Amino acid sequence: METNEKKYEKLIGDLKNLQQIKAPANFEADLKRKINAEKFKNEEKRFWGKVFLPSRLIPSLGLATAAIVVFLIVNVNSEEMDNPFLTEPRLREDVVAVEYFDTFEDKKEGLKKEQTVTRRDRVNEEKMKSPNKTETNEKEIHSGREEVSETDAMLEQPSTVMDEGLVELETTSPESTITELTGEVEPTESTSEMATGLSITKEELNFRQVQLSEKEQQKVDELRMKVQSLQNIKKEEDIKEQGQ
Amino acid sequence: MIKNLRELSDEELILEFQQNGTESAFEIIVQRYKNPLTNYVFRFLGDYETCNDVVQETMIKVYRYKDTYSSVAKFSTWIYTIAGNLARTEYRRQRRRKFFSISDYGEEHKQFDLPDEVYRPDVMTDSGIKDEIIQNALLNVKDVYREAVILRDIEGMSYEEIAEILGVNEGTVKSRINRGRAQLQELLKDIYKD
Repeated sequence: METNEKKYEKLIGDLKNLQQIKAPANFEADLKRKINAEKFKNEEKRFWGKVFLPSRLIPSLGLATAAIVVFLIVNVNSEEMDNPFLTEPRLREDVVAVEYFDTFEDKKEGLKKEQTVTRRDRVNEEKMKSPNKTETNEKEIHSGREEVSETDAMLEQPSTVMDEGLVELETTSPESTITELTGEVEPTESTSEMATGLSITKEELNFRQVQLSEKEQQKVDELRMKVQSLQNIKKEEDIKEQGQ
Repeated sequence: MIKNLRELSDEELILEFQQNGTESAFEIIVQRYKNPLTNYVFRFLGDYETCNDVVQETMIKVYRYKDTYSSVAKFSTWIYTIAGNLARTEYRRQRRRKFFSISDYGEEHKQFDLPDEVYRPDVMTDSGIKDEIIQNALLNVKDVYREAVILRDIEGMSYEEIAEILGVNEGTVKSRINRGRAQLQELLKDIYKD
C-alpha cells in the first residue's frame, strides 16, 4: 500500500492542496428558514392527519363504502324469498268461482264444459280468467276420470245439487252459476262422482285430516249407537201414534 | 453556556441536542461541518448550488432524525454517511436528467459551476487553473472510486472511517482508492508526465 502511495505521491499532494470549498455566507440563515418551514409543514400535516384518516386507508374505505351501497341497492330491489322448507303449506280455503250466463241455455252449455273440481286455489283463479286454460289444467290435476256422459245427464237438470260438499251449484238465479269448493266437508265418493264424473280420494285433497284415537273412536261409536237407538225409539213411537 | 458548548465534542453536542433539545448545540454542529461537507459534496458532484442544497438537506436530516444517532458510532462518520447517500442520490438524478435532456444535446458540456465567492475567475491563479483541471478529471472518475478518493485524499479520513461511511470493508476501500487514483493519474497524464 505504501508503494502505491509513493506511486501517486504527487497526485495525492495535489488533491490535498486543492482549494477548500466553503459554504455560502447565508448557509445558516437558509437552513433555519428551511427547518422552520419543515416544522410548520409537520404541524399542518398532523392537524390534517387528525381531521382525516391516514391517506393509505382512504382506498380501502372507499371500497368498503361502495360494497355497502351496492349491497343495499341489491337488497332493496330483490323480492323477499320464503324458504319453502321452512314455511308451512297453505290449507285450502273456500273459493268461490262465479260464471255469468246470459240465458239458461248458455248456462247449460257452460256447465257441460265446466270442469268443477280443482286441487288448488290458483287453478280456480285462472279458471275465472280463461276457461280454456283450466281445461288443460284439470286434465293434469285430476286422475280417474269417468265418462262424461253421466255428468252430462246430470247437467241436463239444472236444479240438481251437484255436490253437497265439494261443488255446489247455485241455481236460484238463471244468470249465474256459483261453483263453491269447501275444504272442510268431505264429499262422499258417490255424490262427487255423480256430480262431476270424477273420483276424488281424500289423499288427493289438501284437507286437514283428523285421526281419532281408539278411545275417541269408541266414544263416537257409542254416541252413534245412542242416536240410532233414540231414532228407533222415536220411529216406534210414531208408528204407535199412527196406529192409535 | 454557548462557550461551554463550543468546548464539547461532536458526540457530546449531538447528545445534548438529543436529550435537551438545545438548538445552540445543533448550531455549533452546523458551523463545524458545513465547510467540510460542502467541500466533500462539491468535489463529488461538481455543482456548487446542488452541493449547497445537499449539505442543507443533510443538516435538516440531522435535525429531524437526531434520535436515530447512537453514540456507538463516530458523529463525523454518521453525518458523512448521510451526506454521501444524499450526494449519490443527487448524482444519479443528474445523470438521468442529462441522459434524457434534449437541451443538453450539442451544447458545450459544463462539468461544474464555480462557487460565487471561492472560485471567481478574476481571482483565479495558476493553481486555480490546476485545481479546475483536477476537479474536471475527478468528475470523470467512476463515482464509486471517486468518493473513496475524495474521502481519503481530500478529506483525509482513515480507511476504517471510509469503510464505515461507504458501508464496505476496508479491503474494498483500499482497492477503490487505488483504482480511483490510477484513473485520475491516467486522466491527468499531461500534468504528471514524469
